[in-house]
Amino acid sequence: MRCVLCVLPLAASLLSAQPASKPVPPPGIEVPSTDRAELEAGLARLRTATSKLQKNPLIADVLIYQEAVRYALQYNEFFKADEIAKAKVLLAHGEERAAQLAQGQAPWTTATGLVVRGYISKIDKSVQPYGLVVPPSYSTTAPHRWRLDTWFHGRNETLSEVNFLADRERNIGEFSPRDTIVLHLYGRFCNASKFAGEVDLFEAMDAVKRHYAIDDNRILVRGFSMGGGSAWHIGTHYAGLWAAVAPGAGFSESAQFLHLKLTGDDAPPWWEQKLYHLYDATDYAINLYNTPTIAYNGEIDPQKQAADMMEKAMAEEGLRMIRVVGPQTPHRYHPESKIEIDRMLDAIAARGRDPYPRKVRFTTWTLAYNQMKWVTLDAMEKHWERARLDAEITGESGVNVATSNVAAFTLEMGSGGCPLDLARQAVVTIDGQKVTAPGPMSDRSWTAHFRKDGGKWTLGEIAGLPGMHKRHGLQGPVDDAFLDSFLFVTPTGTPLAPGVAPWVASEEKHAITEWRRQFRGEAQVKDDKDVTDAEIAASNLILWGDPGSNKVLARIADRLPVKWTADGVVVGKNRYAASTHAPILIYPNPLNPKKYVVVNSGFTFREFDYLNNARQIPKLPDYAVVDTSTPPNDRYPGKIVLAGFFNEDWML
Amino acid sequence: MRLLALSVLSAAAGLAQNAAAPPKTVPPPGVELPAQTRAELEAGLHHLRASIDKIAPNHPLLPDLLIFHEAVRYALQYNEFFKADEFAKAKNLLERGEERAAQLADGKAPWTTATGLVVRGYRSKIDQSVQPYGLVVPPSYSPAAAHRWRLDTWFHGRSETLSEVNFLADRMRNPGEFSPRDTIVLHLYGRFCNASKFAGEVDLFEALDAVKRQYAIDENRVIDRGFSMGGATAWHIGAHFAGLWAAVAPGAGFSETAQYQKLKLTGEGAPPWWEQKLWHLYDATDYAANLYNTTTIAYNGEIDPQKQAADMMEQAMAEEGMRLTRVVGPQTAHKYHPDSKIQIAAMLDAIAEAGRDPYPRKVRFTTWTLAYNRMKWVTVDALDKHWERARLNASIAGDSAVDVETSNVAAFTLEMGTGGCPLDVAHRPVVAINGQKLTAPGPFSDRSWVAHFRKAGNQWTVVESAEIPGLHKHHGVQGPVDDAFLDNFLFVSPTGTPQAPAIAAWVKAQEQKAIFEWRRQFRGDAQVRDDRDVTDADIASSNLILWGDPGSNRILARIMDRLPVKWPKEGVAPILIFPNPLNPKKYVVLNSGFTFADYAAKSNSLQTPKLPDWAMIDIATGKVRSAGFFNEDWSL
Repeated sequence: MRCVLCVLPLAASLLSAQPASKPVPPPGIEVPSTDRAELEAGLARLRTATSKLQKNPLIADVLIYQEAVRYALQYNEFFKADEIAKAKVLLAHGEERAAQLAQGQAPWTTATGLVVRGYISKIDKSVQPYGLVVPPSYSTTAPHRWRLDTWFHGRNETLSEVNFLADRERNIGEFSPRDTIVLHLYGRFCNASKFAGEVDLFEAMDAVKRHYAIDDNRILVRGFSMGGGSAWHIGTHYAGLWAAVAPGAGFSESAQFLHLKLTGDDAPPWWEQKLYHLYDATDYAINLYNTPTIAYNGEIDPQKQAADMMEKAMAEEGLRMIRVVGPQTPHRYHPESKIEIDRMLDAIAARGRDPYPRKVRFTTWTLAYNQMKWVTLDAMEKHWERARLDAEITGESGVNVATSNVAAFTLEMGSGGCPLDLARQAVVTIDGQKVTAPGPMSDRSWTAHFRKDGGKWTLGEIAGLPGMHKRHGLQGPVDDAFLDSFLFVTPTGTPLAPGVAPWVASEEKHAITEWRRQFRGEAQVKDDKDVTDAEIAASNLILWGDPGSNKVLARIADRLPVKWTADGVVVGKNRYAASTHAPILIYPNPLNPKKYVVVNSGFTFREFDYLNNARQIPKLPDYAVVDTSTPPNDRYPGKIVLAGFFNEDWML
Repeated sequence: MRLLALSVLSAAAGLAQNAAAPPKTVPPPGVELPAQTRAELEAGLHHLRASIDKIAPNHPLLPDLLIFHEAVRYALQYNEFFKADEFAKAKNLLERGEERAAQLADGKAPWTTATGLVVRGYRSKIDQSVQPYGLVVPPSYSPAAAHRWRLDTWFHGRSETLSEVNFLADRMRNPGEFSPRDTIVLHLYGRFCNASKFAGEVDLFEALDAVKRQYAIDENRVIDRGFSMGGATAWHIGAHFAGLWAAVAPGAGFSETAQYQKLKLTGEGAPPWWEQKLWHLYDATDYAANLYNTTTIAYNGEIDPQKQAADMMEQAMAEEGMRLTRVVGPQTAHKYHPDSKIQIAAMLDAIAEAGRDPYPRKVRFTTWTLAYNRMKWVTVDALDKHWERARLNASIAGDSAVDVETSNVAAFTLEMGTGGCPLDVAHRPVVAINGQKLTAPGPFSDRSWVAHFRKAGNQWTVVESAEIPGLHKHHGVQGPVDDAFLDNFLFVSPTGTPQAPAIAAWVKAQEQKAIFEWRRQFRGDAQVRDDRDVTDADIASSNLILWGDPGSNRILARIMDRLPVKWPKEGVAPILIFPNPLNPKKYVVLNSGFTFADYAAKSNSLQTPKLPDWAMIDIATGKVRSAGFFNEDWSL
């Protein structure tokens, strides 16, 4: 299945077909042949050692070394001469761990100080590294749960796995608070923890929680520069999870940061502007109601703009952002500001997060982000418009909820978490309307579902709405398919639209190459004829080709809302010539509606967007029609002649 | 600058003893030191000095060595060996000092991670002296444990011979009255024997800071304890700083001056009016309402006359609507009954387990001076009138509502630190002050909150800052004279020509006595500098104690026309405290050291300020001709 190797020599020629944006990461330097031979020999030795350990649950902690060096060798990612020596050290560390594992030992799992580890991602089965700073007080046997500070790194176009690991084995980092494990995320390279970079946070945290006793109520979100952008994004979208959010510099939205003109000829298309609502932290400012937030910037750092924008967005919600400013400081931390920030965060961490506060305020624009503390949005009236849900425990059996643009929601408190009276039903007042709900269970947990029917709120038996409906994790846009296990399905049959077949082939190769370069994994690829039921059950299927060439697409084509025959591509009343047009879309897989199918697209931002992390946002909505007679460039896969979102029922 | 020549000090001692000729001195004169012992100790001291000098002078652990050196130096230099067995103690201290010096020279400091009895020190901001403290570090302590430790502070009883030698020797041998499980106990020296008033009070906070730098202390589990004089201390520290402690547990002691001393307050022989006013500085009974903000357990033996302290506090607390919990040792005199100790330990363990709430919904605060101006999230920034009772009660009345009741308060701040504010972060709270409703700024995104309020006439307003424009009494700059000796101070000696020679002799005697008594009562060598050598840095960092007159003291000459008093006629010398016109964040004091020196040998309850903000002294008799307080704006 890892068959992309054969495709790779084509990558260079494919890229040359794209209009030139500076490549990110840049091309590597030449590796002297003796070094290359030594590294390849070392890599082969390590592979031999790891091949005997495949079933070991700690194998990822060894494979990080192997994969780092393999990527650098195979994909020309040694950027400076000194990285060759770093790679040799990494191989030695890998061999050391492999030998220890073979002996049934794993001393790094109990080590303090700088420790690098890894996990195998659900998305593409790649091994992803992360760095830890484990405090001197750490002990595996202490009856203690540890505070965890997550740290998001700044932009670095040469932050290969080799460079990340070498740095994480040497550099204590910007902050290392007492009695705190600091998790330094690789974030799949350099995407400000959006897309699969965001998933990296949660997969790495899960890995850390499996290995270390982490206090769920003392997890902090921190980062600087691009990592400050990450902290704003992760802080606002998942505010309920964090004891505190402390971004430094960065950016907090796209349009103002990039000085974009939003109207006129050069304006980004309407759907792209709608999709700013996916990641813009400013759009989610009220969510910081649910967690303490401390912004930092140098007084003379242009990136103070990020905090300025957040301050304004928070003020519009009645929130007063507190800001630590480094006096006369450019793009870095002032030493005194660091002390001040640490003091504040220590005070907040000491009190910890309240998982079940009396009041919750929540906003979102998509069911991709649908949960805040004990509130979950199950359905919206309209995606990419603002939805709000404010909830408050008003008495022993009273809950008050105010909503807008919400069609269904759940209130849920876990075991021990519900303050409502156990012996009474709860009265939930929703937008002024009283609904009597079941009371808490005897374990002090509580779950109640609500849905709106013709403007009237009723109690629901299940979360959300019956039938085909946009729901959390199945709401688009196209890029959403690449946040969970996905499989590229390559066509092997005869195209019904031979005119676009070369475009399809080139786009698939581009998608595979760029997935590796930008998201640091090798996409799982399989021929259409080899796709199994297990894969349909487990993965989002990225179908390349047309209903003639791709067997899986042929099976479901008549159940997709966009029709594609030899006569043309039909979207509602619009018909486009099959010889020059191809559809792109995302849709619940008719063979397994819990997963997506995507037709003919990888992730949607391209070479021009790699140059600035604020541009790394979705460029296509739920569906699009591409005129392939306009060749792909560094921004689009061709000319987008039509694009749009499916409605909440996944219909046109 | 730090050390006066020995000869000067001896002269001063002689002068003070001849001039005042007190029947009894505290501490008493020492015993004679056999010449061989003296030689041996002096050689040892010299050697230790040399060992210490090999270590970087800014090494942060140096005070842990210097405590041994200074203890022996004081005893030798100031005749403070009170019993023959103290010679051996001093030798042992020198050995301990050498041991630590050798370890530190080797890059090691095993005592910093040791459990059991550990003596340590810090350098004081007041006079750069090294002050010792003792610790009992529990067996469970580990510097690597992810744990914050409960800290019990312990205030010792009166001992007139508690030199540094005796304190350290005791703290290396005696685990003390209480050593609770998993608790670090901090035994304070308290600068000798002043019931932790004045610089003794500062010692608590400097020692606490030192301990917190070295050990992971849980700020919400610090407990205030002591017995006898230390019980009085616990009442004083407990009532004045109630917001800081998880619990207050005084045993015996005293809790105010007048009743304890059975003083006649009127008529012949009554203390002057200003002295009576100044009892409001330390009398714990006057601050009883503050115990609303902590948990309090009083102890006394059933037949101990010092049960009077708890009786007085019980009455004062009852007047505030509170019921004092008392543990009484059955048929017990001036000591702890073993059963009572078990009972107190069980109660304090339960309280410590719950811990202090730094941001409770309700705060009740009373004070008589801005020297004590803070309780939990409430700070009084200005009073209508000093040395009268002020009150401020505040409560969180709802998600966006705070109620405040004040009396004798002119300005105040409500402030909750990062993470501490329970008010809704998306709303501006309504603060009702004495019924008047004001909309204040809301909490910040870190869940901190600060709002300042000031009274103009009878109208309260929200203001931007706690600072009141112009000269105004505020916290730390409010007098009386003694307040200048609670922070870094510098004696400025005159070198010029006095306006009146008679004054010069009086000034000289006063300065020498002040230096001598500072060392004797507060256990440090006063920093002394000639007027012509005072630098801008000194002016920026220190309270200046100016000796002389505008003729003899050139600093005084520079500021005289900006002081609120005119230089009096011949035969009279002014004493005063005032914000330094050259740096109004610090004080100047004219011609006075701390003011209770003549009472030092008597009861600790008489160690109260004897002068207000200013006084005119008849230099022939030493009597106070007139005295008084400045107004809230430092005018007469």
